[in-house]
Amino acid sequence: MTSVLQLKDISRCYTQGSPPAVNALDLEVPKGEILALVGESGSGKTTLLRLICGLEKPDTGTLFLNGKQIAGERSWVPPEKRKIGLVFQDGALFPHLTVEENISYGLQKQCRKQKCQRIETLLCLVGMDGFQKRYPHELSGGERQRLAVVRALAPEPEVLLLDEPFSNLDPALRRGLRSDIHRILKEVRTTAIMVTHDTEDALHVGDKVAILQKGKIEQIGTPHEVYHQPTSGYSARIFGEANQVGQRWVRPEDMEFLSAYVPESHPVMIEEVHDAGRHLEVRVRPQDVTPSVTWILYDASQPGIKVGSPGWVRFKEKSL
Amino acid sequence: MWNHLRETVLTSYFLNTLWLSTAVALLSILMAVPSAWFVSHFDFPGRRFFEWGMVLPLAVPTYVAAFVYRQVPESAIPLLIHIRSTYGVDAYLFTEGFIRKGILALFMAGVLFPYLYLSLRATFLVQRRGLIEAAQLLGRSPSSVFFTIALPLARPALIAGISLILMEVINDYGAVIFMGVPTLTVGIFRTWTGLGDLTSAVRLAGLMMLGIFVLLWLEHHQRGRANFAETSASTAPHLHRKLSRAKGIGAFILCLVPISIGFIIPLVQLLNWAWISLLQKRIQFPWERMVHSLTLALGTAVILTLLSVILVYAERLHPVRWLRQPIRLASLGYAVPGAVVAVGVMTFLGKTQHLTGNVFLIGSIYAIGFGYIVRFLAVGLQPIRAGMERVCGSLDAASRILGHSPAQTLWHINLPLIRGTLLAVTMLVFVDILKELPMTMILRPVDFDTLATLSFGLAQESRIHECAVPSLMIIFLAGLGVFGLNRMLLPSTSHPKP
Repeated sequence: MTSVLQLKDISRCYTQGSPPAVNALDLEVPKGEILALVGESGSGKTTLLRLICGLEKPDTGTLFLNGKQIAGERSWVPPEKRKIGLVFQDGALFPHLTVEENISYGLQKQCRKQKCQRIETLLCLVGMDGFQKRYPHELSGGERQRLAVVRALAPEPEVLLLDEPFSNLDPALRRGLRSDIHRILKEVRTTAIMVTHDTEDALHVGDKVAILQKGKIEQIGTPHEVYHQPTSGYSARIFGEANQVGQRWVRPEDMEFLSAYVPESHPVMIEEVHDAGRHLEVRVRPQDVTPSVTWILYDASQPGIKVGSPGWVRFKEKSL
Repeated sequence: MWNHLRETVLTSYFLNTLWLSTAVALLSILMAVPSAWFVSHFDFPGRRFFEWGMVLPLAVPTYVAAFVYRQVPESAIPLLIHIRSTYGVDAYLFTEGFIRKGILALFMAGVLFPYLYLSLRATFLVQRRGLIEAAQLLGRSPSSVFFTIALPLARPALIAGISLILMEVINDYGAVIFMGVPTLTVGIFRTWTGLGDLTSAVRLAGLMMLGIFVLLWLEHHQRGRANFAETSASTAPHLHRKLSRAKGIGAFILCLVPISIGFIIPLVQLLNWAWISLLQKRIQFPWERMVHSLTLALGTAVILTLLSVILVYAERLHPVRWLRQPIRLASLGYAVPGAVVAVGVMTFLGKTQHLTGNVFLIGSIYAIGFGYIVRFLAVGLQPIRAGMERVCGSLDAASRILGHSPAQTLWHINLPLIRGTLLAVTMLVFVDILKELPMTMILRPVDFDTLATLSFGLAQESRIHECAVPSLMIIFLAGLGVFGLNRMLLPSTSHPKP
């Protein structure tokens, strides 16, 4: 697959002396792929987006869009000429323009008829046909964010960037919008990069997930890979609980508690049991691992589980 | 000459300035704080009028108030005669000076307190209702809530408002001359025009700037005029608690007293004088001067607003040091008294005359316009900068990404969104220039009078009845500006609509 966007050795430092927000980063995004970028706050996610769309200039490194250099030494394409769309965290809808005017704002070169048609198509896509004459303040939170997405899609950008597009929404709305946006992006076959600090969003929407730490990419892979086979403690912990087993990290749900020995299982002692509603949260201490550690695993309540009683733990295949 | 100044009048200039600043600041607090609090939080007879009426004194220039109040000390003459015959000359001089300075401080506070009122009201209105309600639910009485929550939170607004008032006091020329309380500004004028000594005038100005830098530092650290030129976008509608009858009357009086001192009494007296001169058939309407004033004030206000927009937008596009520092420096003009700016402009134009040819000829109308812009640029820059930051957020970035150039973005996004702030700024500058006296007097062309210089000149010649008409014209025009400004500053709960 050819990559639409290519970043080579990109760095950006805001204040001299402080660690760089983005640090010698390399990244390639193939055509039609949705890449989800996750990381703790301050890991450089937003800066990376701003660098890609041209709201910031990289200190070093080069950026290519469809093989054409758009930022680097002696070359600079301003944001308005890049053909890269951005969905802002707060939507950044123009409050003095109607839905229709907001969308057509990016369609400068088209004639009236074309614009109307495109607006209608896009609004149908998000189930908002008939909203043309409304103002942003007359829309609900979810509608506003949908409008922000179609506004960015209207000029048919080569790459669409989404900066925490669901962060201002309540959980129920968030889940609905998440699958909607995934559907839309796939329907229009856009290459997209979505920044989020919500790992669930990342795993749901991304074809690939990249984990960012201190301005560098820690791990990149399919949602399954990054979730079940984290390569570092940081990538492991970002998606929730993880148990260190030698050099690997294993998810609690990838461990199985057994009351009888099977081959390749570890003998353990139950230290703590906590009823978490949908399952029991069990802390065990493996007897054959030194130095001594505790593992956490989930179990649908079975009779043998009591504090102080022995058992065996086996790893499921996913984690291997 | 400098030594002579230092030995003779410098101390009294300095002490007068210090005394007047302190007294006006304290009196302004007494006038503005209770009225702003009651108007923002309680319902009482006349609240709707006071809400905007409290700003009207801004339309009255200090020198016009001085014409009116000059006669008050005269009514104390019987008392003064009694003191002189009973306690001697020293007691007489002390009492006379005290009454004169007291009256001066009182009416100056009366016309200047709205600066503080506006900045406080803006703050009281956006203070989160939740905080006040939380304090009430924790068992605090309204007065206790005020002293423990609302006032401490409003401290930045308090300091910003007071420093604006102090700058006006220090800058004042007309009122202090009339009341015979020479301050440093008067000193600069006298040294320069009377003694013809520019060097000593510049030294005096330098001394004065030192004091002002302290104020400026305070203001800079507590946010500036931006406080009240902001239209607050959307705040929860405020609930006005109804006051009992007795307390309502108390609140009414607390609001009525300052607005009477600063607006109603001067207005009634001027109308009375105008009536007298009408009866004496000596009334004249200085239409030509009005055209001068309007052209200068409106023209400069529009140019200044445009210039501010360009500078702020440039700074926004390229947030770099070499652009930011000069713009910050340009906003210092507001802290510099008009007389000092005038000296600077004269010197600058004199030095660059060979470059600009006759366009910016000293004593031309362009020179005054230039001076006004130097002095009032900050009035435009600060609110427009605050407005763009508050309203535009990431919107202009969004526009750039959707393929519009910086200029197109400014035109389609930024300007329509900060329209309210732009109008407010234009009116604020309009009112300021309409009232401005010291700089206009120095920089105006020969035989060129504005309403301000005309009424001041007539009053100086003691043609007090005749100066009523131009004074009323200033108040009327500035009042229109203040009224419009106030409409724009009143927070609305509706969303922006095109």
